Amino acid sequence: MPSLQEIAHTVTGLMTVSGAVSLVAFVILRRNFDISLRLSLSLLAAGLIAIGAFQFSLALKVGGNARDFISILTIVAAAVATIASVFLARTAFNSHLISALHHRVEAHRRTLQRLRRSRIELEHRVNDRARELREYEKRLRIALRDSKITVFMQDPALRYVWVRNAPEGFSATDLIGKTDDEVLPPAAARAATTAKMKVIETGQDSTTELYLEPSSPGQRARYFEVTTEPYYGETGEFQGLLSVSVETTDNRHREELLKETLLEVSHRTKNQLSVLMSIARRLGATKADTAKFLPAFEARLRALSISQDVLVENDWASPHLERLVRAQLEPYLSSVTRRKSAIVFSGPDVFITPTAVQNLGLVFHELALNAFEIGVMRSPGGQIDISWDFHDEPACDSDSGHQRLEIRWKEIGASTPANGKLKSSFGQNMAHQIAHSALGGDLEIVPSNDGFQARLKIGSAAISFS
Amino acid sequence: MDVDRAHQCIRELCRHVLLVEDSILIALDAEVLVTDLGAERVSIAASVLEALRSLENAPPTLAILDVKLEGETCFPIADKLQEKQIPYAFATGYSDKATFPDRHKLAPCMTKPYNEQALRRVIEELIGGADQCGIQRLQQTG
Repeated sequence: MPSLQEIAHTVTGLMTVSGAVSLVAFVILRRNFDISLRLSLSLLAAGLIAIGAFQFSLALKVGGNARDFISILTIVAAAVATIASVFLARTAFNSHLISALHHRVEAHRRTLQRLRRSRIELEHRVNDRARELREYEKRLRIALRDSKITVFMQDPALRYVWVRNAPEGFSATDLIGKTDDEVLPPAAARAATTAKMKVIETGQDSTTELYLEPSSPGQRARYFEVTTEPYYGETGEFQGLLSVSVETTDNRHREELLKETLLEVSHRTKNQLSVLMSIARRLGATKADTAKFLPAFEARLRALSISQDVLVENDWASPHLERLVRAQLEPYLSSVTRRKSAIVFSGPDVFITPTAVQNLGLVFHELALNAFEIGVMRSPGGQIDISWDFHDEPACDSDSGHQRLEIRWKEIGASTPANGKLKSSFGQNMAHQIAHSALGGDLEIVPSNDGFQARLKIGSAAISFS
Repeated sequence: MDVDRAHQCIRELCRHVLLVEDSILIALDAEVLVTDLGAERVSIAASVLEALRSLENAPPTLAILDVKLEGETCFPIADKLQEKQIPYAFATGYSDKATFPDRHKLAPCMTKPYNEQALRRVIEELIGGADQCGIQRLQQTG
């Protein structure tokens, strides 16, 4: 059985050690310093008091009952200190629990606040994104508006899922959910589907031209250039096809018009070449000598060229009769004969149809050539009087008009032996044939001793009345 | 076919030629060409209306048609000629037969400007395609 002194030694020693351990723990674990500090301080205090009392009893050298009494006192003091320290520790622990709870509540509140802030921020960002998207959508709409461009998406089954700026005659709402087979004419649908299937197979962009036959007579064919590419989602999975279609109908029609115009030009050129060949052959039959043939051919070539110039300067509309005749005379006029009074025109305004211009130009060229070669214009004082007016004539068949134009060509100032013929037999024949067959009239050369006189009648078909 | 018979066939076919051509100078030139080949009569028409009237009044033995007339094409005339089984050939500035209606694609065609050889070649082609001397032409319905 240990003595009270020994128990007191052990208890006080344990308390001192535990106080020291608590201090070390306090130093190492600084966090919960409330509990550990209080606990260690109270234990330390109790230990020190007990040691002090015990040492004091030893110093007084009390023995027997007094020493036992001191030992008991020491034990009691240690017990009281322990109880007090436990109470203190409990209080401290409780206050620690409360403060920990408080801390956790505070932390939760802060988290909540953070979450609330994040939510608001997120809402702002969503709103911003939505606004941005609306803005993009608006810009896309403005960019596509009034253009011939359509942007659309089809799902992997080639159903339209999104369409912007549907082409004329189609509506986006009607297209959604349908395939090309359901919205395009059969041939175009086949072409479109084939092209799109190829894009799906190869994963490569492709551009196809689609031709839409007219759906009803009177409508024109339509052309589209469709560029298609595969569309992948953010994770890289295939979501369908994105296409941009441009309607090229207007361009194609312009191209066709140009082609037609070129064909027309080619046709006219070939016709002109045929005319030249005709003139060359017929002129060649009358002039075997190249030296004589060439200037004669050149003169007719020039006459054709002049008629063409008159048409061009008049934008292919009907030129005035006087303009045509003056142009044909022009190459033969010298500075003297160019005097205004050398050639006198009189008559009402008459306009010649473009078709008749070349023929009438050739006839006047033959008359002009004759006047300058053997007629009155060889002499400086020569004058040509050209006058015209309309005559009503009974129609001989239904398509010749009732009105005919009579043009009189009168050479004044020199007496020319008139035999009723032009100098050039080629010109003589051609002028008569043209007047008769092409101009719906005739050419009469009047024999006269005063000077050369001719009367040319032409039908209404050669005259423009508009 | 011996030479004399060939000439006879050509003369027979060219007895009365209808020239449809809106340019008189070309028509007059063609007139000389067909006359040289033995034509006894040549009619000239510058429009579809004139040509139809001419072939009603006096059916020719052969017609040479300029494809493009002033503001119209000669195909209505060709239709009428086909109906009446009168041989015809085209003269055209276009060297492209693709624009012809199918029913006239088989008809001989020469490009402008044409000369006597070209004319003789289309006439021989017409005779070659006929049962006998230019009397009845093979139907060329497309």
